[in-house]
Amino acid sequence: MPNDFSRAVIENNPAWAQLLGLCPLLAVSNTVANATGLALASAFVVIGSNTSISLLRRIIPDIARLPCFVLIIATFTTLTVMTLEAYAFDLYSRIALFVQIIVTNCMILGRAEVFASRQPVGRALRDAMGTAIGFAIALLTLGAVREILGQGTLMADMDMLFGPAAASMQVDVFSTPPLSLALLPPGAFLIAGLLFALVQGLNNRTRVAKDEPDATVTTERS
Amino acid sequence: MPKSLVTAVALLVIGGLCGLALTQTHQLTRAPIKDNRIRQAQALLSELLGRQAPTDLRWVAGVANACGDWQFVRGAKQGYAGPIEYLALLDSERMSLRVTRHQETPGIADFIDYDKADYLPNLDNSAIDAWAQIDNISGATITHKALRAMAEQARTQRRDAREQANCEAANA
Repeated sequence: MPNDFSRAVIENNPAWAQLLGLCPLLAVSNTVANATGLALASAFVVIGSNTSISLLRRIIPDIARLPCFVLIIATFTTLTVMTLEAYAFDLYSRIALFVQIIVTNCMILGRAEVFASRQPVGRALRDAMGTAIGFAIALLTLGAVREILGQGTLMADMDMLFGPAAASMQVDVFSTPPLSLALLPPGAFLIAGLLFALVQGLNNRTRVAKDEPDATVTTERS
Repeated sequence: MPKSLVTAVALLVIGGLCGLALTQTHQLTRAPIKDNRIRQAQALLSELLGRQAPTDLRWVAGVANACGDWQFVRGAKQGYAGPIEYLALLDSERMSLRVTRHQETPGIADFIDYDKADYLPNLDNSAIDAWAQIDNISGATITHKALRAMAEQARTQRRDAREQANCEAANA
């Protein structure tokens, strides 16, 4: 039970383990600022909707559970859209489309159906936080690599999100961007594929390392 | 209590809670959203005009400053995937145009987004007749047909607004 959080972040990571929510992940991860905006928006929706669904699970009619889940997720998505449009308008202008389609993100609906609708609030909240952080790690990693390669900067335009003081967070890594393709959709697919392969490779290596002592014991016994 | 009634009540409760959250947030965010939209519109008007646009523009039938040297015209024409809304600046027989909202296919019709492509800004201050004859780009012929129709519509709308405001008498 305590590892609901870590399982959601690593083993069941929505991006690299389940390959869910790839549309916004690839579309919006061209800079760290955009990725942060979408990560915060997705986190609010997944945590809010999963907690609400868990709280309401005893009154949600089984026969109409999917429409109810979608209604709750759509409500949280709309709250996010309104808040962004009111208080982070520049960012909203850039990523609004992808915030609006959070409502169809199968990562969120999947966690609602598989976990939140069957578990108490505490577990649903931990799972939602793990899912949100796992998705944010994937988004921010992809955003950082793409921004450095495609734009030569890191954390540019953070003032759109955190106000004028955050403009100083920008780091200039390259004077000339080494790979402009990284900002374009094909670059998103290539870099995401390479990152996911890297994570998979590390997972396999860890698994082999865990299995090896057992293999030795088996050999000695035999 | 019948099961269907329990289901109906449960759905009403869930719908009511969602509705309540939405209306409360709408109340909270309505004013800043309105301010942001006005600020964005004002910035676009100023960009088209090339100087700070007046903040007290009076819009009549989609036309502002009908009797002045220049006019702003706003309207919509049917594109490939729905209406394309636009804002045009007409200065005598010259026109600049920006698309303010559309649902055209992303990637194909990106050229009409003034913040993504220079296609429309490059045509700023072109003769209205030239706008009405712009060439198609392969794959986006319906979008171009809409752009040509916008030029005609803006000119007609301006003429009607000027007649309605009786500008000749007002200027005399």
